Amino acid sequence: MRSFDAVIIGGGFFGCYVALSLRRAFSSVAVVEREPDLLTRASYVNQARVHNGYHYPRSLMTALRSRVNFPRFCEEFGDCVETGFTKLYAIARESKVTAMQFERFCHNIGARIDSAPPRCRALFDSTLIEEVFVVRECAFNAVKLRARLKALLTDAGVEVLCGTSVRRVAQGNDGDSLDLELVDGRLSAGHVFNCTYSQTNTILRQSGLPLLPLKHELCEQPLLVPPPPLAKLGVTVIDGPFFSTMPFPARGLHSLHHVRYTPHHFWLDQEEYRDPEDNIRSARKRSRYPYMIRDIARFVPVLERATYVESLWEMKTVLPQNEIDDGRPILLRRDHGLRNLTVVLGAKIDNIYDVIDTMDKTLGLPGYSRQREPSAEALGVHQPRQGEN
Amino acid sequence: MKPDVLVTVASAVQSSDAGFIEQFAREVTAILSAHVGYYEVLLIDNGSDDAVVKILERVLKHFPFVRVVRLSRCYEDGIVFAAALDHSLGDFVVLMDMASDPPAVVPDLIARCEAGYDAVVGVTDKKWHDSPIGRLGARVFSRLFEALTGYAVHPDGTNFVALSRRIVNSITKIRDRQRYMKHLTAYVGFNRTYLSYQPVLRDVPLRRRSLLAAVNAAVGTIVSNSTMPLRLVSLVGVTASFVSVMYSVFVLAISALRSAGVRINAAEGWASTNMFSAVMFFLLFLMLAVLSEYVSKIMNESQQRPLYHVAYESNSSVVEAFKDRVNVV
Ligand SMILES: Cc1cc2nc3c(=O)[nH]c(=O)nc-3n(C[C@H](O)[C@H](O)[C@H](O)COP(=O)(O)OP(=O)(O)OC[C@H]3O[C@@H](n4cnc5c(N)ncnc54)[C@H](O)[C@@H]3O)c2cc1C
Repeated sequence: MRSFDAVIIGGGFFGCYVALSLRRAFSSVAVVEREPDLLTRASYVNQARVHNGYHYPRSLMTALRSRVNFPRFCEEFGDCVETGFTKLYAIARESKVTAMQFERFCHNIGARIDSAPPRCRALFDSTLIEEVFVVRECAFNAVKLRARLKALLTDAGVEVLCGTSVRRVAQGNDGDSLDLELVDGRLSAGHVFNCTYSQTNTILRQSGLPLLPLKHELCEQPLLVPPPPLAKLGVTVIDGPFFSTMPFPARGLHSLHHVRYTPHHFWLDQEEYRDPEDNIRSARKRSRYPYMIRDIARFVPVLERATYVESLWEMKTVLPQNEIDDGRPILLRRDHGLRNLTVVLGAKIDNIYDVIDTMDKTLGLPGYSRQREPSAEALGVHQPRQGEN
Repeated sequence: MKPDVLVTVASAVQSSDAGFIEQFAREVTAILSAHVGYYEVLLIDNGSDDAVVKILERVLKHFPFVRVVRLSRCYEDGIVFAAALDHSLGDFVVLMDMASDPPAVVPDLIARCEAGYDAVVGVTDKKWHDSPIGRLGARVFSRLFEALTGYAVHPDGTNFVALSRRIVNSITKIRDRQRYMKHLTAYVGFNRTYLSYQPVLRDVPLRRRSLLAAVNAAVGTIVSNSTMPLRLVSLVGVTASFVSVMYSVFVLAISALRSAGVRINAAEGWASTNMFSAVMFFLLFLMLAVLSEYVSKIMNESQQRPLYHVAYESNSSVVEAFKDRVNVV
């Protein structure tokens, strides 16, 4: 039986990055990935938005964390990030925040915001949209990210085992190490990291361990060829009606996301456990593009001329609300049911930095963090003075 | 029917509907899924009670493509229809009252829309619903309405209608607060047709309105759709002032003649003065009454408040697969 200091289950963005960080503390690290290649699941099938705070006008903490992580991600993965498009945020008239509140919020979190030029404004129906802004946001290219992480893993000497999956994890006889049962063999590890995102509870359940209170959503992400006026634009409408269409660099198309239609259904594991993988395989996947495009075209009429290409489907795993009180939407559990088994889950790509920083602090495995957090001043975050609200 | 057509079926929900909301959802979704490519069932919860809210939550778990838009309180029918049209996505939108309109007729309505009509208006002989006086009133009103506005509304037309996206977009642009679906549909025009149907009688007391309410609605409808009464009043006013000018000329002439020594019996003046003021007061108050109707309408419209407020929106989440899995935590 092969043995490693640390085995990471799941070769998505989180698993790969955690493996790279651990490699600096351990001499033998392996990643086990069920699919034939790395980063093919949620790390590929997503909106590719690198968040910069604008999305969270109703959660200042989350917005501020995004502001901290955005420059780190853009610096570290600059070559995997698409910046050659204009990003518009439009405030709907029936929005929960007004244009003025949004502007003020952006100012408070130090995020740049400009009034949109008339040519951009003209794309929106002014009876439904109050105001349009140009913001700083970008999209990552999952294919480039995959190539980049593969190269980094090879350089770091991390072993990558694709095309095989972990069935269960059990404590080794010494009461300290862990045994992994794969579909085609066994491994032994000093530490195991469960980075399987939607399969997090599946692994726990198969190992007879306590489940986490996760919510799962079956998500549909249509890809489309935007009409020419939108080719170099990303559009997000907030915040009541909540949808966006923005470049999906991995395919050279635009993705579509609509708060009402993207999730086809959801369930809470604590109410009724289901295996997300069974669910995504067997669900009747009938596209809701006709609903999405009709609703979106009410706000942005030119989108009627978009050409639908296909839909990507993925399970989205949502963290329990109490995990994200401090604005870091991550879940990090050390010794979960077994000694040296750690569960890692992040809501967004850039949360990887929150994971690594927290691992530094709480797991006592030093030195993962390659970069320091930029200071509030460097970000231009507005620090409220006394007497100012 | 074209496969990529999207149909919205919208109904208000109120507390008295509790007994058949689920049955309605079942019937409507069954019919729609058999007949149309894409559909949504839009339930406008008109400030109903907690029992209904619970039922709606169940409906969202069991029936796909249902959306609930809950209004902040109970609004008038016209406003509820406005909310339904505002929130609808369909290429065709069917408005119905779940308490009386048969889901089985929906495909017929849509078929006529697809054949090119922008509005297909349901028609019933209202015997089942209205009293003879009510029906007579409706006929008189519809004649009067046509005479005053120049466009007709079918006296037996109901609010069970199918509308094309074109006409929906026109109607949603009209933000009058006092709004009557039937008359708005007639007002925007386009091509209209009628389809008669047999209402279903669910186990509820009929939504009948009192005579007073009906008269009130009739006045409201005319005031919102026609300025004719106001023009009439100006006409009467002009005539009356002309008459009163003539009368003063007459009075002046008499007094001039008398001062010139012509003998005229002065006692005659008593009757004519009283006559004059009586007629004038009658006309004055009539005019004030009509004016106040219009002034109140102007006030309502000029406040420019939103027609309604939405408390929240929710939509179906039906998990089809693995219904038989055991619960584990
Ligand atoms: C529709 C959608 C839109 C999103 N939009 C955004 C966005 O715009 N911006 C953003 O930052 N985030 C977004 N997210 C969230 C983001 O995708 C996730 O936070 C992130 O991808 C999680 O990465 P991961 O590595 O944990 O998951 P994954 O990439 O899914 O990696 C988990 C891996 O584990 C593997 N695995 C599972 N079980 C086993 C097993 N038993 N053995 C071996 N391997 C196994 C899987 O094959 C998979 O490759 C979105 C998510 C979804 C679903």
